[in-house]
Amino acid sequence: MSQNSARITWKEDELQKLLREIMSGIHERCVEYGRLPGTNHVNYVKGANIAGFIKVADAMIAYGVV
Amino acid sequence: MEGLKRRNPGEIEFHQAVYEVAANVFDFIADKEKYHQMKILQRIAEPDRVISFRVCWEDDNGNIRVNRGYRVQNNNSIGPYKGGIRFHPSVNQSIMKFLAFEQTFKNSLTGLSMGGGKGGADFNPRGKSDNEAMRFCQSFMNELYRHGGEDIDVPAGDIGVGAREIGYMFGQWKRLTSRFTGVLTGKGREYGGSPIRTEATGYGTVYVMQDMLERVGNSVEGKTCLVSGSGNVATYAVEKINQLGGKVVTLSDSSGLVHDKHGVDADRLAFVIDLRAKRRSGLEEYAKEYNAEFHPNARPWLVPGELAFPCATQNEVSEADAKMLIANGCIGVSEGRICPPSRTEFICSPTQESFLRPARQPMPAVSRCLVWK
Repeated sequence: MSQNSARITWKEDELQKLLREIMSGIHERCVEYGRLPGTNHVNYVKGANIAGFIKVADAMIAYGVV
Repeated sequence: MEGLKRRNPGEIEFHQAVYEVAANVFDFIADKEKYHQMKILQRIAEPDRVISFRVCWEDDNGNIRVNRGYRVQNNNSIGPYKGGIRFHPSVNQSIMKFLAFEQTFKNSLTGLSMGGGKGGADFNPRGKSDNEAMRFCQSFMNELYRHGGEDIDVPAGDIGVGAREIGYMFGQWKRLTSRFTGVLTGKGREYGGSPIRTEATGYGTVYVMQDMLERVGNSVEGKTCLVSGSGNVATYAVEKINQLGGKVVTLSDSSGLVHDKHGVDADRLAFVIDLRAKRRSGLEEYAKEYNAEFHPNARPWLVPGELAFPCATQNEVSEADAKMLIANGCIGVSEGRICPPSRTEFICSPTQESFLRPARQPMPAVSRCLVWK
């Protein structure tokens, strides 16, 4: 999408790096929202669902009743 | 949930998807008044719009055929609708709504600016000639183009929609609109496609495993890895596992399972890719070539190993499989599988929770969307 808008094709190593960064970001968000209280365990599915939900939900709240 | 079932009668897959997210989110928002006051859960479970349309086309024998196409635009609060198009006989409104709903959260989780949508048709591209696929895709796009656009809705491929179908659909979009814009992802490299896209799901699956292990001071290096599948996702996952020093001992396809104790190294992986691409034959040939074990119709999750990567459309990890994996010393599961229409969940044991990454997590779509164009 971004690449088409800008009429460029990114270089392979740039994309590799981007993929790695995005996956790390996903992992971090899963840990942030999925950590089981009082333990070092993480429920990744729960963390993923909450992290995904919050971003959309906060945007919806900002837009008001639409 | 009662209201949801009443307003969406018979849409079992959709009910289940909403229920799962609601169950996870409910604890978290229990003490946060604004989410309740603004009725966010109720609003998020109602798609922005559901488009359903007739797709007529002519087969090679001159018969007129009728299919039903869909585009569910679920939520564009954080970016244009984005999500795959699936051509499969099982496609119906419930499955489209369920996938569009899930896609919204998967896309959000990437941190990128993408909303959620899903589309498709109850059309089976298998066994169709190129001309039949072209006529179907053109007819499908004749309606879909009204609802798409680079800032509106950007579909991608999914089951049954590969480079061939994307090419035909993009061609028809271009003819109808005179615009060469990024309205579909997964295009060929010659006409605006992105490098790495094919690799992204397989690599991403392994990256998440790497992150999960690193968090607890462990690594992929030296681990015995079980991979199911032998397609795009599986082969790139194997490539990345090998780069990180892991040893892959299984691969599978619809005919059965290969158990190769030597490990699927770069040469053997090249053989698998060649097998799939050129000879179109099963993994049994691999077993013969390298003197590995072949088990017809077996599941990879019975083989002892430390890390598991479900990367096939079949052979998902059931609850019984999860227990077997744990009993065999498995410490992590990271799934790159593109979910088939029906799926089961598995519950992981609490002690393994930090590692297990059960079915239906955000990975596949995330990585497929990631280097999209």
